[in-house]
Amino acid sequence: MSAAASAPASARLPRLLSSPRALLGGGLVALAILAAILAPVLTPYGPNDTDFLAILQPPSLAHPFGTDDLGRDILTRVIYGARVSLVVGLVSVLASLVVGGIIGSIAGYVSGWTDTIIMRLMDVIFAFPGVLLALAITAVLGPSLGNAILAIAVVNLPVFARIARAQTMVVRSLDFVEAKRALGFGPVNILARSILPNIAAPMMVQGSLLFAAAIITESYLSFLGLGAQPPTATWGNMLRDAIGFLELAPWMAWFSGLAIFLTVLGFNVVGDALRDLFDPRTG
Amino acid sequence: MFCAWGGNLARQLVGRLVSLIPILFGVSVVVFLLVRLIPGDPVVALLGMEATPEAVAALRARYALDDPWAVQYLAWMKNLLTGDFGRSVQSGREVLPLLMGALLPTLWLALAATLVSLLIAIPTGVIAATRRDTAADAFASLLSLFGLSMPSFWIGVLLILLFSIHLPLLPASGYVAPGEDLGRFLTHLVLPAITLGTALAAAIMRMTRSTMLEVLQADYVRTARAKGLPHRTVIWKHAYRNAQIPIITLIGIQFGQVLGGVVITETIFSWPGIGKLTVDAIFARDYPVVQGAVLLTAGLFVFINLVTDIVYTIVDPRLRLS
Amino acid sequence: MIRRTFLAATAIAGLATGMMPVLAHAQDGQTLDVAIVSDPVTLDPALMASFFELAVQYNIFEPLLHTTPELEIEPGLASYEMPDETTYVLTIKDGLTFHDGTTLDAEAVKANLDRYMDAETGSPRGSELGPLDSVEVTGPLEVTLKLSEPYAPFLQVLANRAGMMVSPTALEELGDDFATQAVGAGPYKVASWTKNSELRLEAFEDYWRGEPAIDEVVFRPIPDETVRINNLRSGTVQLVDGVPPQLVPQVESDESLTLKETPGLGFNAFSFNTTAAPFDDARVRRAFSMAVDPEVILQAAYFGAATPAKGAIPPSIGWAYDDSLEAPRNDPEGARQLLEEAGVEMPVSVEITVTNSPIYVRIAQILQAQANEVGFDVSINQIDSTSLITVLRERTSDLTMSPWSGRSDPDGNIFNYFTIDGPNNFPGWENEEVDRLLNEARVETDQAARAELYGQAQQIIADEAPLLFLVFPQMLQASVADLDWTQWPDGAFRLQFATME
Repeated sequence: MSAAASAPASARLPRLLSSPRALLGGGLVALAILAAILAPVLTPYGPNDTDFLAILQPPSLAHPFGTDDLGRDILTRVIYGARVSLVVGLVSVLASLVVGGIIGSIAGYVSGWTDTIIMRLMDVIFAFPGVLLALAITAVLGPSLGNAILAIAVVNLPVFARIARAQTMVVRSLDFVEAKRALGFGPVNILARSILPNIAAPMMVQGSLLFAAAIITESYLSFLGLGAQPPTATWGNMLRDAIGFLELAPWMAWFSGLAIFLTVLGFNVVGDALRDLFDPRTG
Repeated sequence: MFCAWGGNLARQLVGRLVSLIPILFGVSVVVFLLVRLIPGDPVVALLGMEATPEAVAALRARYALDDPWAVQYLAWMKNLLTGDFGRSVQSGREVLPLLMGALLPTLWLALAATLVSLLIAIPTGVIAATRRDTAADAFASLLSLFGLSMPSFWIGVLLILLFSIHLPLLPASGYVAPGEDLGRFLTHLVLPAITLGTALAAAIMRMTRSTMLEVLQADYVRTARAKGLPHRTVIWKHAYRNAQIPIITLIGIQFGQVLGGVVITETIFSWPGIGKLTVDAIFARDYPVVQGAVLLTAGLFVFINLVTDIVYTIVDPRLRLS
Repeated sequence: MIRRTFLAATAIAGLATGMMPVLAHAQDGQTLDVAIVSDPVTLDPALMASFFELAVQYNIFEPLLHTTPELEIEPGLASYEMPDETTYVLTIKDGLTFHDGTTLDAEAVKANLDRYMDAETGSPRGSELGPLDSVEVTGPLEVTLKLSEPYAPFLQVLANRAGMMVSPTALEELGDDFATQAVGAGPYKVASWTKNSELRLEAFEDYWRGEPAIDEVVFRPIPDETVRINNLRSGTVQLVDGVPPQLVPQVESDESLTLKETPGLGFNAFSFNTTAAPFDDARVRRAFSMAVDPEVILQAAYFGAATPAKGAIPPSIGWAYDDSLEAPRNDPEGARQLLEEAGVEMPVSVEITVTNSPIYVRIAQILQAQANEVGFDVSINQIDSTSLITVLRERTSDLTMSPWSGRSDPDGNIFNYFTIDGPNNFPGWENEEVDRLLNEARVETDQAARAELYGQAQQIIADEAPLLFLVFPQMLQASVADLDWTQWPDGAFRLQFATME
């Protein structure tokens, strides 16, 4: 049923663009992307430039978002933080989407023992509480941004594998695929030409939602001290640092909190709009 | 017909339960290895800066940490089968009572958070569906995404600032058992439940909205409308009541996820639940506790999923066909 | 000389006993809620290793001797005599019992000390008791302790963790459960302990100083520093440990709260790995130390609530503290020159390892900024506290945080760190002269002579810079104004001396 829904996907694009919600989400996402790309141009400070004579200063003309506990410009760090958050979201989601997509569609296409083994493995990962698994993986590998991304990707793997498998099984039994098989097309050809285009849409909907979740998960890992290493500015570790100064310097928390909130909201709204578009039950 | 179906159900249930065994076996292997791959060991964690080589050697021997991993795993499994989860290396406590003691606060929190999420999600979901594609729909959707888009430690600290400091209405953190003092139990529960609940609202709201949209198209709702029943009655008595089933299923699935996802909320509010217990145990390399806690949480999670799956099959005939 | 020290000690002890406040009688139903930094790991003093457990332990367990807030030794469960430099005779008060009714007599004391020394126990107390050789019961209420050589810190050790007495009967009956249901002879007995939630203690009616004034004490672990203070302000708890320095002005300005502050016993320092490049060269270590401006650390990380440290012995141990100690600091120009002299390739790439505690992450970033100015290229490695121990022991990082909670005798702050075989010789630094001085200071019983030896050792340490000493942090604790209590420099609560209005 979803396969049928995804066929006219391109026809739905204009509807997406006319939806005010999608525009809002898209706008927020675009803002974060622009900030990430243009970071060095947008601000006169470096993200790690300390000024111990100007710690915990409230917002002013020189520092529109104020300074933090080490005298760093918060606006600069928020802008640079966009890079980390977007990289975390993008890389972790792409990695688990590609890997999960491949193993899921193989499982769905081949069936039998391969399917059972792959999916049981995914069940095992899925049965682990997500944050705990990410935490344990970063603890094993040592805290760093790269390992946090890897951990988040592993946690998301079963979600993509399951979607890919389910979609593949539906598509595989469709008439035109059966026909291709009868005509002697190999599994690689069928997977790449017929199945991949049909599972892409639901995977992307899920991806945009998990993108948002990945940014939040990174902030949790940072909160527990297992995210990017200092002094790298991430919204998560900026928020964590801010908690010690909530009443003394609330601006430390406002802006990094707001940045996470708006970006994640943007991705959630876009994801929601995409889902509405592709889910036949609401379409 | 009913009987045949019941037999089928029983068979299905047993089959599904058996299928959990390899999953839990996999979880036990993964957690056993994972926790041992983290640098450092429980004795180092226990003795900290005061460790002397003699003390480390004596304690490693006492907890059989020098045995090969395979031997340690088999010993753990063997004891598990007799219901013995072992003892915490850190505190010397028996693991099973420790887990049960932590599970209860987490269950309370999960229940309360689910309640909060329903209070947010059901009205917004119904409004969004009945006023589809209006500003109210858009606003309701945004509102439900609010909690999902904020890290929970951020919400938690803001709530503490607002309701414990500026308006000193509620305790900032801690846990009181309901049996000890029900009133204080409830006041302690409010802030963590809101923190956790807001993040759950989005998915339930979304499900409410879409099932409501579907139900509103159904014949019996149209009939009710045609009969001239008041709008409110049509929405809540006829439409919503029938939209409940998938929502309940989703709540079941989410409840399972909450069990593992409460870590941050429990840390902020010093809530003595299973999430905090596990995180502390990971940092302390307390192998028996981490292993027991993860196995228990994972077991509950897959079990709840199984039950909701089966409930779904019973109540949603469309799925029974496939 | 020995004689004189002994007389002085007993004189002080006698004086102090006379001045001991008469303990108020317990009022019914008074409960004190205390927020502590982390849940105790174990209540067994034999295995206690975390600084934060100390906050709780003195309420359950009574040490053989007592330390005043000024770190003077007084009789506690026992009084002592010292017939010669290596013999201590302890006389236990008559009629003492543990919480479970077991008699606290010479046999019980022997059982306790033997247990701490037994290698099987795996207790860090064993090394604290140092050269203690044998414990003999020489009367129903008298034990004679024989040391293999003089050991100056011994009395302080008996007044500390290694002097805490547990009920031998309970130990046997409870087995592994002793760690959670601890039975001692302190002012409070354990009523219940829910992991990560609350440790509930009840007044012990037969406590030797008299039943404590406050009926019930509940320790609540609250790891987040802000939340901890907020609990005090909202009235959920009445006493908190570990006030974050940046919140001191706010707590002080609140009239319903009392902030107490005292110089602590410990230090905050970073260990150089002296066994590998680049810090195997003392000049590079000095250069790094010279890059550091302690004033910035003091203000930006501690908000003034600390004293700059140049050595291991804090000002709270007045007789041994050396004000004149010189250490290379705050000389960026000199640091650059020294690096050039050392002929290392610049920038010198080094890694700093810290735990994820906010204050240390802040310090690491300050060190990074300052060292990068003079020609280092610093990266920060942030790990959990268990991994930290491994990094320190295996020396896998160039500069690693190594804070020490401190002991009331200077030996406890310096011996294990700077002797060649010391268990806390994290820098891997070997200096025969310092080793000799510290061993000598351990057996020297004259305080002035000891102070002199520590002074010499500390100067060599400051020059060679195996450790980068940063500050002696203040003990910062706060309570509601209605609570009358005494603060100790070790940060441990002793709530038998507290009363509440």
